[in-house]
Amino acid sequence: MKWFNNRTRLLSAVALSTLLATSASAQESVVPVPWENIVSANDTAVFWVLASFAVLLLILIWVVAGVTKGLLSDTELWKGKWEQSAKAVAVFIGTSMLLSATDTLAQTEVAASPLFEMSDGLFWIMVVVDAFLLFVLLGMLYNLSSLIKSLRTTEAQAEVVVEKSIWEGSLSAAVPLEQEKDILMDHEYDGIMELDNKLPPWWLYMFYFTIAFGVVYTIYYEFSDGPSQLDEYNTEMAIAAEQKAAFLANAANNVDESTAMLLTDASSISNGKAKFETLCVACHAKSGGSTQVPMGVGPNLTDEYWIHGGGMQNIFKTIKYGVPAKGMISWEAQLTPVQIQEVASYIISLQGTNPENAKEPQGDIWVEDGAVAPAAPTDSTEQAPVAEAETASAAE
Amino acid sequence: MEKETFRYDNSIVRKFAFATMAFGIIGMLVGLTAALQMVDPWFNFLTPYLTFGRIRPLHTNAVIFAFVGNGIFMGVYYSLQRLLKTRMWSDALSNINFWGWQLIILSAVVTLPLGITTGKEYAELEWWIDICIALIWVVFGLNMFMTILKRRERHLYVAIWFYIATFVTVAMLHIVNSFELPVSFFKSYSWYAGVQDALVQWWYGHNAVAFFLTTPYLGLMYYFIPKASNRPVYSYRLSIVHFWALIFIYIWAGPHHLLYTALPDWAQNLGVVFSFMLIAPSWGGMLNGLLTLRGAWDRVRESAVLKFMVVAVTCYGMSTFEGPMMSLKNVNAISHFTDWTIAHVHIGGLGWNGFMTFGILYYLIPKLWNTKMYSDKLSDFHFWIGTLGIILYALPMYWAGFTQSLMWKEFTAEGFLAYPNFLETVTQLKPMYAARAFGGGIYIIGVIAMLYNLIMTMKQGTFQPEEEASAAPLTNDYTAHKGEGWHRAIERRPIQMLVFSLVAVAIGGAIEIIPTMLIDSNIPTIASVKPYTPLELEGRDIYIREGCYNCHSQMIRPFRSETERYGEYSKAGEFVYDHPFQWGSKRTGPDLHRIGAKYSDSWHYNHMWDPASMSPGTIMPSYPWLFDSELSTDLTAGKIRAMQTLGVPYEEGYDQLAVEDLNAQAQQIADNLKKDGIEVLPQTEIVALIAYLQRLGTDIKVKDAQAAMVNQ
Repeated sequence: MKWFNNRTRLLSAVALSTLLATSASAQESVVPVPWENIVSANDTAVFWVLASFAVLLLILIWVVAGVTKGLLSDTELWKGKWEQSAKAVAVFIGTSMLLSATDTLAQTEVAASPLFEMSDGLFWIMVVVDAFLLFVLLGMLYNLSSLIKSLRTTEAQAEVVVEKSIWEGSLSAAVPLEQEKDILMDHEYDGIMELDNKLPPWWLYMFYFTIAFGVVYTIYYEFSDGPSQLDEYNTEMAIAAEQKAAFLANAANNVDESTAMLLTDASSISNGKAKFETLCVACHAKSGGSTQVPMGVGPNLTDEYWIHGGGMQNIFKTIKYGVPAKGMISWEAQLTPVQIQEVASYIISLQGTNPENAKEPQGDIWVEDGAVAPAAPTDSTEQAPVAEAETASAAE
Repeated sequence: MEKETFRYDNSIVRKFAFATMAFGIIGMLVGLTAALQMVDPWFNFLTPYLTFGRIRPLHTNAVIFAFVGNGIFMGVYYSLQRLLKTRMWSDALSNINFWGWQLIILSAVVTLPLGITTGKEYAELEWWIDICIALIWVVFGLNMFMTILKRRERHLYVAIWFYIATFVTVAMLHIVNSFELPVSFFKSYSWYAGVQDALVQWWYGHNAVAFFLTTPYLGLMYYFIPKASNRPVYSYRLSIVHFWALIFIYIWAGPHHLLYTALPDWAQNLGVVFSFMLIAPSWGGMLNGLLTLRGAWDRVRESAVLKFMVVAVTCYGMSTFEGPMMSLKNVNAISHFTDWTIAHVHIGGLGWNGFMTFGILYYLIPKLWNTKMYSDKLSDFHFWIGTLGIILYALPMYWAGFTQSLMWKEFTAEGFLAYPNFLETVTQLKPMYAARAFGGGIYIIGVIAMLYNLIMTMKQGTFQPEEEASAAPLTNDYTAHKGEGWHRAIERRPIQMLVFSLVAVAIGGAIEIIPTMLIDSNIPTIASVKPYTPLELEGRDIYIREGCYNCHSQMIRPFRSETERYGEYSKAGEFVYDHPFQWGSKRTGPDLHRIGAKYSDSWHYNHMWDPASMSPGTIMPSYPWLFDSELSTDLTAGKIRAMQTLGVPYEEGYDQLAVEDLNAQAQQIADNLKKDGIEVLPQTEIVALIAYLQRLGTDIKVKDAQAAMVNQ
């Protein structure tokens, strides 16, 4: 019955460490909260009921373990005691660490809220701990009763007391090793015999459960109102649209091509630079000047020539909507209006940096001072790409 | 009854054992190369033949069909003779099986690096190799069946049930999935298109896992675990229940590879529920393996054979639990297209198939050479370093899978993707890819240790080509025992066993595939979707040749995180001219279904020449050979005719005009590139590839898509 004693120790270790860690977390959570702030008295009560229950269970486990130990105090069974103790300690430390990690999480949650409301997480941890302890206790009681039974048998029978682990016991319905010959089947293949053990009940119930799941799932999704994958998608998009609308209601972000303004403060420029260097470099090069050799994809943004018009409004517009015909993609779905404004401002800040190996000029000279009517370049952008292609090849 | 004396053929077992060892190490080294390519594209060595897109199919084919395939034959040829108390029916067929299989592998080793591929995962080999595979497989089955018929053991042991189910099902899967129309010796098109092709392919692909990597190995488990542990099998009735449940349910589960795709919902739902119901039948096998060792665990500590088998069966249990979980749609939404899948299959591959094969080798070689293992310590070393290798392989891949999936799906408060640049989600994974290569590397070190150990064992022993045994022949006057189970009757009727197995596996496949083929409403047509132009078709064939589908999907799932990133989700009607489909199963790079018209031609040109120039830090290799190779148009007319045969509506006689159209379109692209300062000959392969990429996903505008949705 060696396993029994082994198991008791391991389980007690788990139980004890669980309890210690839980009570520690309870203290940490409760102490910083002033009593007058606790509105949710129920939560507190529930917590303490669960905790006391755990303590009670632990005491009972301790008692049962003591009784069992007394009954088992004869010698043979305690061989390898030290090895087992070491195992128990290891399990204790492991569980404590695991739980203290959970504690930290629970604590963060509690700290974030001004009141002590037991978080769902903490509640369920407590419930699981209690259930676990109860399970341990029941298991130990069961083992104790079978131990007492076996001690009552005659000495001759006691010698063949059958070891039953959980796997060999009620969970597997297995015939014990010693009685195996009773269920050995009468055939043999190349020396391989077969036993006729029953299907393990837990396995069979799992099989039934999965079949039931299959039936319910099919009925729900095929014959009832279970959502199709497009329903799911539409719901997801509707929620996102709602959130986005709520966000855009925030005026600070509500910039468009007609209201965008050049930003010159350092933080806006560096935000713009950061975006530029992750998103735009692929075509415009890190310097913004694209490249001469090998021929870069995007035009030089550091000179005074612009294909789709320079200046804040035009650049904002080009970034926002893109010019798909020429390979410039629309960034509307990836950058907020403010971010577009920042990137445009950064691009304008690159004017005249004249980087090495920059691409030759394309498009027309853009003059900022209003000498060119603001409408003109906008129009040319909107015209057919043919016109642009002409200017581009003219530039070459 | 007088006993007869006969001899077991050990030579054929030895041949397959050598092949298993050789292809094991080769397949794994190819895998290691692929793993290193994910860390640094330098390991593509700038040669077309070793790029990831061609190496990855080589790795999967070598490991599945060469390593595990030879392992199956090795174990079956050894155990079948002994379980039936007879020699193999025909030594000639045994040898045809052996040499034929090796020739098939050899042709795979040659054709795959050359880019000769059908473009369907795990079924990449071209049509004439497919025919050879079918023939050799039938040779194997015939030999096995004739051996069964002349057996001296009345009843068939559970291992043989699994062998029979393996034989019929693999034959069925391979033949149905390989229907293809040859255009030339080196090129064919899948008979099916789009959604149908995807369903057939994953019905095949999933069940290649089930009936090539699982059922034959369960059969081997049922022979070698009781033999090596000298214990009776735990439960005969568990064998019966889990065998029939497993083969019946497994075949339905294929659509779980296509969750949230354009496959109709009803087929997806069938895939989900049958995958979930697979847990218990799979675990039945694990339990029967592990519980057989009840009362023999002290021997497990001593025996390398049993140690390997215990870890193998445990890995089997883990991945057959994980698989059904990944088949739940909400889990699949996270795991699909990521490295999670890679971790999952390698628990199965390295753990279950690898360790089971090693266990069998450690059992067989000393037996066949009539000696003991050369070094038990070295076997132990192999066991521990192999186990460590599995862990170090799997953990980084799980981590990578979760990381990437979470990055793909994260939105900012503004409602934008937090990582709009796909590349960010890839560079993040590089350390994990390096750790994976390390884990795989030390697993291979273990295999090398095994090879050395086995060779030294052979050297110290003497091989016995023939092994004498005796048994009484079967007589015709058998009367059934009173009160025997109904299943005993099937066990002494091999033909019934074969037929019932075939029925069990045919039901699921038929119910899923036939309606998808025949009922139009499953694939709503979209009027604006037109066949590819000849140049695009040629470009598509280059896409397939280079194995782009190994890293890029063409299937935008209906998730906000995907439609924001890639564009409108993919519709079934968009793939009706795709022979074969190219949805892919893994996104090492971004989805490409709506890549068309997103970037300029020059962007693609520069990107294919040197991906890092457009996407710094990318792990995509360069494809400089596309810029030198002239596009061959010899087959273009034939390809158009083949497509017409397959039902693609090109006008009558268009094959004669195809090349002219092709040249015109190529010239257009070349002109386009010239505007951006790029001089390119219109007849180069890169031009065709650009044409294909620029076409992808552009046939529908969002308005049409909505119309199509309403029609659904």
